Amino acid sequence: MTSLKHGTFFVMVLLILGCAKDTYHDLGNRGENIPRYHVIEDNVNGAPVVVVGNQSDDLIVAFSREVNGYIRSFNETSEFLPAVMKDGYDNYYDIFGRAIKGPDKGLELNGVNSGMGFWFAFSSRYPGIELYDQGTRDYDIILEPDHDWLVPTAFVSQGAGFDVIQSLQEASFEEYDVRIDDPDIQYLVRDNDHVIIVNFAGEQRVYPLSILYRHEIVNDEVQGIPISVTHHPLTGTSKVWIRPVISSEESFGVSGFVYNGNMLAFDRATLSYWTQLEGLCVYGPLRGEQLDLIPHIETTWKTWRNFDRTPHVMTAETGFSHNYSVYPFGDYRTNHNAISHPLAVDDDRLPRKERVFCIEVDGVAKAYRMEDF
Amino acid sequence: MKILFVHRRLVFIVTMLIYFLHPQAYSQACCTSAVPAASNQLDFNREVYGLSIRLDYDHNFLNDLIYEREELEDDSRKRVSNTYFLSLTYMLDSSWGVSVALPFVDKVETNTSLTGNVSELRTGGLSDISAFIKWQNTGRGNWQIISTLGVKIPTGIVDEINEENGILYSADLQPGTGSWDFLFAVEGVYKIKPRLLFNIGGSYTLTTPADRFDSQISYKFGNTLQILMGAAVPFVSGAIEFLPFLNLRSRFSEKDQVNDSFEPNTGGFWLNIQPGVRAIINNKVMFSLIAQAPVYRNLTGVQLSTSYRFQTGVLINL
Repeated sequence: MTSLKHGTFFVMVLLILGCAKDTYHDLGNRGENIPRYHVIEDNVNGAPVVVVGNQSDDLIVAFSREVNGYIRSFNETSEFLPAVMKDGYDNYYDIFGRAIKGPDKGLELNGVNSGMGFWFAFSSRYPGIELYDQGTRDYDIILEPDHDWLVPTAFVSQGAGFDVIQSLQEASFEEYDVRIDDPDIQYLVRDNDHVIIVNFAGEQRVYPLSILYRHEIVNDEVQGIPISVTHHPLTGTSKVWIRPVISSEESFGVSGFVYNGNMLAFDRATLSYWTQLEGLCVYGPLRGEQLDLIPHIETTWKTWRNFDRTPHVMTAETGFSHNYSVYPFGDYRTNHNAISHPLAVDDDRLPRKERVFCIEVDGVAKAYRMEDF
Repeated sequence: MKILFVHRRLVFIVTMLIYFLHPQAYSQACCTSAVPAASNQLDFNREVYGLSIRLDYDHNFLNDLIYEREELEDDSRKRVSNTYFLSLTYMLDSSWGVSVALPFVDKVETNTSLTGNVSELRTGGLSDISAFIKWQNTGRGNWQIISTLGVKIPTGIVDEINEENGILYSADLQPGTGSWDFLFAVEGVYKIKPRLLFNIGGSYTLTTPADRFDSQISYKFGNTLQILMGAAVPFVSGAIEFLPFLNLRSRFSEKDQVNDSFEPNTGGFWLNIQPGVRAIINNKVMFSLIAQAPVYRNLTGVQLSTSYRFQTGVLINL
């Protein structure tokens, strides 16, 4: 598992985008307040990164600052949306790290393994994790793998039954037009509901967490390329992977096992177990294999409609009769005492359920708080 | 065949047995299968003071995947739970009795993936021992009342590990629960006619949390309320007294809890039908056979639930 592998892949992925969906508009012309996205230039495990986000928008993303072997400098901008930052060469970048204006227009920054989640999920997975502006904490703990696992089994536990939480094998989408104010066609997603946005292979798709709360994994296909969009409600973490091949046998399911409280997916072909946070196979015939991660954005439905006026949103036509408008776990998201599984470390530097943004590079992680933006 | 109204006390006893002779009368069943809970076995024979011994076998087959009130078309998972009970009862006098039950359980969970791969999980061993005190009225009116107070002691195995992958089995797959539970039950039998008895009863099980993973996690099965109602038609054939009966048993379970959080996909309401028959020989030996099938279910989330169940047993007054 290396950031280089991820970075190389991200470049390839972004090059595939080609004629990416461009629904951008200049909100500045509409006279609306343009939120300033704050930019943090930083290093994670020696890798230069840029983290850009806005607390009120509930949106943070991160990219590598290395471009063609050189480290670029970035600053924030509020000149126009969708530009959220610019570099020292007057290139303006959108939320996907694409230069949309400037001498290097079309340039795409490499992504890094990153995403939102509850503090306890990252702090237990990466003991002593560095907290931006606060440093690390020392923990006298060694996570030794055992019993043919690549992780210590003391922190692997079974929650739901095997394959009880039913992953989806396909998804349908519809175009949502924000210019239509008819309340009768209001989508199931509400303003403050969170969504995952995946910009891949020339398409941009929105996956409501309201659906993923019930299924945790959506096995989708974009331009013929199989992907899996995942969200684990217990850790609040989301990741998107490339699936190895196109077939139902290669789809991922929810094993019901968790490691440090975080989902372990399984592949239906070999029944191997994969961590969500790294896409690493930790048990089974494919132990040691690494999935290719795809960058994603997680934010609110309201925020995303500012970036995309005609988003393609996954529908609730899943074949199941769940009531997706209801969060199924009560007060779990705000109850800091509600922890269902053993954790290697219970780091009290932050409240357990505080949502933070985490970047991981070669097994070393760093977390950023929303208030940093 | 001669149909007689059997001795009132015997009817009373047997009727009481209708309810209480369910080895897993207070078992929980989420996607899980019945976790052996307090076995409310209060077999005693008022005709014979002293000791009686009973052996029971309970077979619980779970293959119905239920989402709230809907049965899903999914045959990929099932669980079979076989429980063997050894119970000893001692009558102190005509009203008071004490009883202890030792359960041994064997559970097998089978999951079949979309590609046909089958995984099997198996646990077994001593479950939680239960102890009871029972009281019944001694009057000769049409109503016979029995009340029970019991405790389930966490003697069962709670740390079974999957030998294949080294992972601790989930709480509901373990033979024991690791928790002290307390139950209270009351049942009444009313003689409508000499050949027709009506029984109604209820029980409440109060559960407590049990520690797992070096006390980092506490797991508490949901408290359970059960209501039972039924009728029996006693008759005698030769030297054997028969008591065929039909009960409706409802069960409401709260959601399980992990630390301070309610577990999804646990808890709900079940309504089952229970036909059965008991045969009593010379007031010394009794055989029983009870079946159970679901009539209505309204569960929380998605759960594996009982498709059918049956229990059989023999009681011997020593």
